[in-house]
Amino acid sequence: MNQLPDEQILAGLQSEIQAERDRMLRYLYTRDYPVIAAFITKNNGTEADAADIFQDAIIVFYEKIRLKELTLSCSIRTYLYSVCKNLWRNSLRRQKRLTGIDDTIESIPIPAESLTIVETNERQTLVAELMNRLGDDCKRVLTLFYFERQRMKTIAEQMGFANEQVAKNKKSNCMKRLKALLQSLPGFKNALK
Amino acid sequence: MDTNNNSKIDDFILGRLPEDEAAEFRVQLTQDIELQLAVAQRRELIDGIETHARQALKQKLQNIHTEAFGESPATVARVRPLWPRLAAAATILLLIAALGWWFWGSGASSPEMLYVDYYAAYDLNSGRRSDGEADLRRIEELYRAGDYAAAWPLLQAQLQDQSANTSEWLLVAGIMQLELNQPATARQYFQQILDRQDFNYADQARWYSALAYLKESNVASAQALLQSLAADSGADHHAAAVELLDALDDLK
Repeated sequence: MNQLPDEQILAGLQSEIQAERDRMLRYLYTRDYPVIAAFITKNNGTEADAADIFQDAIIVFYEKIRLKELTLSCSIRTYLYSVCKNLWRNSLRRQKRLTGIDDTIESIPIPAESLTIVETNERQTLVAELMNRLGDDCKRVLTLFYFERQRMKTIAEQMGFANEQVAKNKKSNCMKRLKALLQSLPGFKNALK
Repeated sequence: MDTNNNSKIDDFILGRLPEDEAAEFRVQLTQDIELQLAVAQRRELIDGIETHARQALKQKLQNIHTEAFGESPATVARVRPLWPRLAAAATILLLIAALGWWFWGSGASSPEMLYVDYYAAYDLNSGRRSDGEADLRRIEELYRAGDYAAAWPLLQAQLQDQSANTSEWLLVAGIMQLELNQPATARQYFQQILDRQDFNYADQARWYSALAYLKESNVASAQALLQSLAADSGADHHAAAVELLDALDDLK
């Protein structure tokens, strides 16, 4: 595999083109997973643990990049490794299996709050489940706007809408539907108040 | 809460308001209980949307993992909420509520808007693939994950060598083409189902063909197909077809 420079990976992950973001995710995953798998399995974990932890680390990294909240002072691999190390240490601690981490690779400190996005509570998971009751276009427009933080003009172009206003109306309708679904759940309406 | 207010709340939550407007909004927030509630509700929805997006991203990464490194043993989720079974039990109520809102709240103003309001991807039945149909199961997984771009070339290969030569897979092929913004190609797959006179899938083919025409702003052709569904009270999508015909009349 040809090695891509970090700048190119970052640009790819920030691209407005879904296929390019997916290409970079695939590249990053296949390039760095073996390093993480070696670390996790050397520290009381399984291959499945390694995949789970590495996927969460990529999600943390991806969101930081998309929200422009990350200024890298090290390589992407070092950052991902550092996030994995912290996530795995937290996981071992919760399982009361933490005895020490055998660690020979360079890492950097990761703020604890950066890792919380991969922890979900029941209410978040419930709304996420309700998203599956919406049509695919609704899921896509809401994801592009709220998660990918794309502008309406870009969303309209990507989804083949006639113009920005069509995308805005679609998003508004989809949010109304999601809210109606949530409020129709017994006991959940009051929980919001 | 009107659309403009929701838009401002979105900008506030997403950190898109200019600093002076954000400061003003924060002051308003301390004084207005109704606004506090609206912001809390909106934040709840956005948190859920983000969670859903993370779950989809994680599934995408798992797919990459499987393709590159093979299957790994099932992972143990770090959070295992107990609510899903309760939520599943409430599905019928949710669907009723969603359908109620569906017909009540659309207010679409163009064929394309009606398309986005009425379109929902066909729910591909699962659990019927045998062990020898690993490729089809893989396509099904990608389809369910909404990864149509990855699923399409796999299905195309299956269609070419006749491994997926059923009306259901033709329907799925059409849906993928709709999702990939190729409505004319989608209609060709739906037409193949109609040409077979497979009554099990003919209604679905007519319904999605009508939606494809709407996506192309071809209202007359959409109406012709919808009328055939509306005329048959036992047809799949009959009620939606009647509603959609009314909505199309309102456009005139």
